[in-house]
Amino acid sequence: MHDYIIPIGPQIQSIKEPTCLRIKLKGNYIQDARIRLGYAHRAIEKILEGKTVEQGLVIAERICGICESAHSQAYIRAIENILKYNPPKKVRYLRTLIAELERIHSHLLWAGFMAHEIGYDILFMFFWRERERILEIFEKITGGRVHHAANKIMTVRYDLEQGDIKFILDRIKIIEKRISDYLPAYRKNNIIRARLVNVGTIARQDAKRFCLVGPVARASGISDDIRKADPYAAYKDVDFNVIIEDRGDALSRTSVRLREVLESANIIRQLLASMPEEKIPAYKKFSIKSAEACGRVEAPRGENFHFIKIRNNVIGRARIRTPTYNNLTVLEQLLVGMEIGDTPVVLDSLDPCFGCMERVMMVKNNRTQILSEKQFRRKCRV
Amino acid sequence: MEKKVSLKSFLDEIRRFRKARLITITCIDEKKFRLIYQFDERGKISSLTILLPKKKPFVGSISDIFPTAQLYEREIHDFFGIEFKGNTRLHEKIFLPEGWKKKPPMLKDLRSATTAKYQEMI
Amino acid sequence: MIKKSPWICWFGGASCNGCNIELLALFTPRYDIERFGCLWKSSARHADILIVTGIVNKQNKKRLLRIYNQMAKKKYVIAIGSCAINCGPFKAYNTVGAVDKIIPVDIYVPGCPPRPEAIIDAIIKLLGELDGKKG
Repeated sequence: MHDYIIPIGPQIQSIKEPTCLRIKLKGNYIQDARIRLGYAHRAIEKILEGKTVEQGLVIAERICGICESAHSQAYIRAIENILKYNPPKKVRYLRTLIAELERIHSHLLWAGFMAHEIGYDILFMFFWRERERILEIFEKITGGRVHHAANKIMTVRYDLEQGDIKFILDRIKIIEKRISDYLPAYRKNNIIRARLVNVGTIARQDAKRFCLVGPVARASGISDDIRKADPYAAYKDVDFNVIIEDRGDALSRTSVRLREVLESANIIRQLLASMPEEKIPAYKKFSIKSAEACGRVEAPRGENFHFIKIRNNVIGRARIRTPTYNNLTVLEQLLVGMEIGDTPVVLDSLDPCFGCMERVMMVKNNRTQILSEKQFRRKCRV
Repeated sequence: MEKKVSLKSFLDEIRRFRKARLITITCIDEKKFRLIYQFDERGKISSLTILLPKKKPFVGSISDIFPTAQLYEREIHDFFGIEFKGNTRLHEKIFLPEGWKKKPPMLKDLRSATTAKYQEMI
Repeated sequence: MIKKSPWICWFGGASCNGCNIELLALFTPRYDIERFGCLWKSSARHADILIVTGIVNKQNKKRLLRIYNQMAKKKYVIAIGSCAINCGPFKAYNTVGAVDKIIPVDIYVPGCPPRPEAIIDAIIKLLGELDGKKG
């Protein structure tokens, strides 16, 4: 019997993003997995060179459509470190509000995808129905559903109006109730447990060795959260817990994310209860001769890190490290030994956000022969 | 905390960070190549900088101590042309298309299309 | 027949995923495009409409052409978002160009990203065009 290397992707309908996994199979079990990136490569670091700081902010927001304010906030944190500027309380509260709303929206989006991978399309529809309420809030306060452009350097672009606080609280209340109802379904339903328990387990020392970040690390017992370790915006003023579990499998990762939704709803209530009454400051021009600094935030998927070097008011080098990029090496090790049917669950439980159909390779007697489509069809007919 | 090291003492200095978490490796193209290794030690960012010459730059790989460094080193090799000795998967292309034969794209003498337009506008 | 139930296949180029999630929101209970008979199909051979989001870059170009050729003769293409229409802000060493340089496009939906109502409007306009035509 020969071994086969099959590609999964780049045109896959399950993960919604182009990426190619080359999996070496023996029977039903995976022996080796290699990931091939580059399909969503847009050369952002190169494009940012030569732009002014304000232009760079517009591009930085469009790196990702799901964790969009995390990127703009990390960029702004780096620039405000250079300018040595501490924003006033209202600005910090409004930025935190957007960040926590985005965390809820991103986790609900992911929870829907995970349910779809298992085959529970009804849960996918339920999660996305709740998510629409968050998009209504975004539209009411900032004007955009996906790209809000809410954060600006040294200030914010939107302010809360007369009925906004009640509008937000009504919807948060519904979401809290519904997610508290759906969470036991994940924990107790036998079919979901059969697909998720002990699948893709990452032990605590492996998580430390691979330097993992985000809910993936927190599900393996590492208590690492930038909101507590290196606080920014209004996180020093609110009271919240870092959610940790210790099993490290796909069910723990799901449970951490859904419990984080409830924790974020709690943070939003505290922020709205003590929202200051002052006005947001007007936009001020600034000029930076030559400096470099880094800024990092806790995006929904982990630690988002921006390093920016400015020369003569223009960006000289921007280095952006997103959390998914950091967590990719562990994926290749995780898949070894699993069945091919578990691949979408493992890949999705790491929550990849990355923006070939070449041919099948046949490995025979350690010599690789690449089959064309015609040759592959002939083999299948036998 | 920022520290500059030379090529000789590089691996010893890296070993001092083995309990820390590697955030990323950044490469900047100036008069020489400046490689910055950024670590997170209990919430504080520490960085280790090393300067490499422009002609045939090479440095030792740290992917046996930090497995995630394998991805960062492959990326810097594709985009800047720096050789990391000891990284077994260095020559697998990571972001660039398979048949890329031109110069490494992030070098300073190559400008992106939009940068060139912007420079004309000023 | 296409007018009563157009089946959709999606091609994702290099994008930030904003347009993709607005497209996916069409199949959820709030917008519910299935009342027009649309279904999401994984294979281009089953689909009538190809929806393209994102930029075409050197890694994607051949795949896009191949998927376009896999579809049956009566096919329509909708390009969604400013990245698919003219690359948005992302022209670099990697990009090939707008989608209509590679395949012919029938409808353009501008926006960054366009609202789901705009995408539904585009599909309805496309179906209205088929009025009086066979098939």
